[in-house]
Amino acid sequence: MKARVIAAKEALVARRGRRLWALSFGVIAVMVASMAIGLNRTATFETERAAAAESDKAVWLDQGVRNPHKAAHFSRYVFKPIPTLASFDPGAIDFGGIAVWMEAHIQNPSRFRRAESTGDLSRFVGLSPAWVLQVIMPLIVILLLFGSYAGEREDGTLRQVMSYGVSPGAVFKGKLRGASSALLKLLLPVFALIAIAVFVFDRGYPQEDLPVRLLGIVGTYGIYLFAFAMLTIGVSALSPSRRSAAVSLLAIWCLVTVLLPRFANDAAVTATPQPDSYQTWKDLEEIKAEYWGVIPAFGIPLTDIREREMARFLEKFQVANVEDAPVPWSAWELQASEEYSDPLYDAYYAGLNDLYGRQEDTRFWLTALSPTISVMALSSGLSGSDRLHHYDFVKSAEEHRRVVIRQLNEDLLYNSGADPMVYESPTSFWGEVADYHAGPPPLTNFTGSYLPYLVVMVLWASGAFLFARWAAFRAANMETAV
Amino acid sequence: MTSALVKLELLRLRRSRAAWAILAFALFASFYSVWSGVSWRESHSASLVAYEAAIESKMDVWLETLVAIESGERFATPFDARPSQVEFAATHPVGPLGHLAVGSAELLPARANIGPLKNQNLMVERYGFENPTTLTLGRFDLAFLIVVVLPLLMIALSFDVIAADRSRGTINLLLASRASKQRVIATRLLVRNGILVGIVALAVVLGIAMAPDGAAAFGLLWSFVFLVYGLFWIGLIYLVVGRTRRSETSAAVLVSLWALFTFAAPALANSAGEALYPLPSNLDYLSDARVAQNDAWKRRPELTAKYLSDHPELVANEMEAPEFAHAYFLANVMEIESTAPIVAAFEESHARRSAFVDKLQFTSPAIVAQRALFRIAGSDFDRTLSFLTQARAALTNLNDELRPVILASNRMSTEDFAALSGFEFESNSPATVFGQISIPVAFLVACLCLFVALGRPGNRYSPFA
Repeated sequence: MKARVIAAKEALVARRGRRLWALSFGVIAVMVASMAIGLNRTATFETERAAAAESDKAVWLDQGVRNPHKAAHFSRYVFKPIPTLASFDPGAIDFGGIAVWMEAHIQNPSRFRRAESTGDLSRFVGLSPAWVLQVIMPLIVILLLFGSYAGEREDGTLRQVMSYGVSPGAVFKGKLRGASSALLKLLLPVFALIAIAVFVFDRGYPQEDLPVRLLGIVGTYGIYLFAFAMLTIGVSALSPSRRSAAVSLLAIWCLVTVLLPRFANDAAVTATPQPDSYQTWKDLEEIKAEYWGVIPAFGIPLTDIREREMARFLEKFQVANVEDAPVPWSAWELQASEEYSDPLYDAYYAGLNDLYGRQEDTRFWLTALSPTISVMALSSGLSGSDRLHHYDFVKSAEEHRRVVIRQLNEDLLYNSGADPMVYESPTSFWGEVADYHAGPPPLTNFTGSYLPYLVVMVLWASGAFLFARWAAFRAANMETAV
Repeated sequence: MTSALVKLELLRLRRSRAAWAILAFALFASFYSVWSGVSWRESHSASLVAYEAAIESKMDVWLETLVAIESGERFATPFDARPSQVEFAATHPVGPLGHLAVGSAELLPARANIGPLKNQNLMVERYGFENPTTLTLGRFDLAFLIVVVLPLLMIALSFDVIAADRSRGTINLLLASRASKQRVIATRLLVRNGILVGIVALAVVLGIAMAPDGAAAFGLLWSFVFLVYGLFWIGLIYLVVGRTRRSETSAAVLVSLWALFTFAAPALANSAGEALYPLPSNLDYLSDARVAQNDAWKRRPELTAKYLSDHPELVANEMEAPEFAHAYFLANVMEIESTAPIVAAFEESHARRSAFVDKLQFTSPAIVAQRALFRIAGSDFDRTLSFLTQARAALTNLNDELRPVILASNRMSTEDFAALSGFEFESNSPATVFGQISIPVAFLVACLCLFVALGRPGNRYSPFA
């Protein structure tokens, strides 16, 4: 009962101060602007992707009669779909390539990172609804709640309340309810806005598990901002004055939301340096050349690998010479070389992925100091715009490359007759080559990767709650003791 | 009187644990950022050197083969020492102070392979293997520290420079002495921030000392911008703390200004630039390039025949080069010609966007400082664009030089090879950079003068009036 009265008083003070309304209005305005920017970007990117995919198909179909292996070198591109929720949190979307060239012999990296054409200002910050919730909203929570205990203590009303026999627990409960109510009033319109935007206005690539992802986002930010609210109440309870509380909390906000995420990022690449692009490309070219010895391999003596493959070929067709086989050796060998290098590429890219994982592990350890790092990882993951989703696209593009190259090689193998070099596939064949249709992967593919971040968030929120409770009881007891 | 104020302030600073924490953080962060930048520079530069050496050694072997063929020591096959195999490395070296402002440099291409079998799309060597997650936030470099973190530390040290005396009730005692309020504030601000700026300045000096030879002029410019930006914030703090009575109000106003200048204004300027001046899509460029390649592939006999009928003197007498050499060369030349409009449109749109941001930068000292520090360091986006433009020009030149021998299936001579123009990146001189940053930095200086004028006693608009 007493807690409810205190909560009602908190709400009344917030209403009278008009601070809540002003902040709500400001936040909604920024959210609307950032959401509009996000929706526009996603729609533009998706339109570009669809047009590029269409053009790529048209060029492929229009290549006329051509040798299938030459076509495999021209090949096709696959383009990364931009998920609906990238409007909310673009995450790493701009920093991962959006097109993969499915060339024969080699697994190319994804290309055309959008961030490369956004200029120097993008290194400051990108305005997005997720950024507003990650950085600006905690500041608003602080501005709303920094005086919750410190103000009452400064004005002498805390002592007055305690003198009525109200227990410290009841005061804390009242403050908690007041804070939760203020937070809900702020967040409900924000989340409603996001939901309307993604369900009604968005033109990104559909995500089948969109409602689950959206619920996850609401929950994640709810926990994150609850942690900030508790931290604010705790610091306020420990501070002798509003001034001291405000200053301490501003320092914490700067450190936690601005400095530590950037520092964690730098520490991650310092502890585990980024792969050297030149060396990486050289390694990939070496994998490409491993089967052939050297490219082009005309007139070059057979490598051991090729000799082994030739022996397998002769055994399979029960012939003594390659010329006696029912299919051309050179065409067979093209597919054999692909199958030889496929696991090597898998292992190499898996190694790169492990390296990224180690960088993110370093970043993860710093979540102990900043929940913002956790919320960034969870938010971009739930939005389908993080590195894991990007890697999934790269993998599915590679799987598709293997399907396409096999189709082309098999055409050469079964239809080229004795001389695959001069064979040309008919125009109608290009239409038989499969298109890429994979969309964003389901969230369930990655739940294990996000769980540690979620645990850290819950620990932060629980720790902040216990801290706030301890500080609030301490403050109340001190007032009673004086 | 001033020296007494300075001594008193130093004493207070010595006793303040918060001040020690802020100064220790500044010391750690500034030296860490220099160390992190230097390690990035070293690894990036080593990678570029290795790339140049690899291409050079490849061309050495090619040249040795050509010499052997010319001297008759070796039988020439159609695949040996063909002009279509000529390659030059084009690298974008780290800027003179690139380790102090990594900026966009970690994201943008720095290697290109200039050769007739490359087109504009493929000449840029494969890159982009970095972790996209870590690229998102950027590096904790010295430029970030100066532009974003330093003002915040200044605010943390200075927001209560006079309000604390008001709340303690010691303000009247202080003003009972001969010192004016302005002088007290100015002295305290200079003492507190002087130590802080001094710590960062040490890191700046160390960073400049670790730059390669010939960076002294850039170092001076960098130091000047750093100093002006630091003074701008001291001036702004001076005005705000003079006007506000309570320290939490000072803190709130200053942090709001900081957030406005370092986050809101750049984010809005960036979003507005992107929305109002969109750059042509890379995917459109790719589509055009592939249409051109496909077209060239289908028309290769016709195009070769046409060229050779225009130049009958070039018809080959020597063993013919493989067909793919012609085909790729022609496809690449056509690709370059057909994508020229989209490249020009990209450069034009970028120039318009850049001109727009040039105007918007005056809304935020942080944008002015960041752009100036990036430009001086040689880490700005425009420098990479210039590198790509120069690389494209080098590719076109090389294609023009090699076109006759490639299309006629001839082999070039060692003299012809020696006469080929390679690639040498031309960067901006300190004078050019000074010209680029002078107006925005002069704007910061003008703001600073305005703050000083406003803060002078007797000014009716002064916060102290």
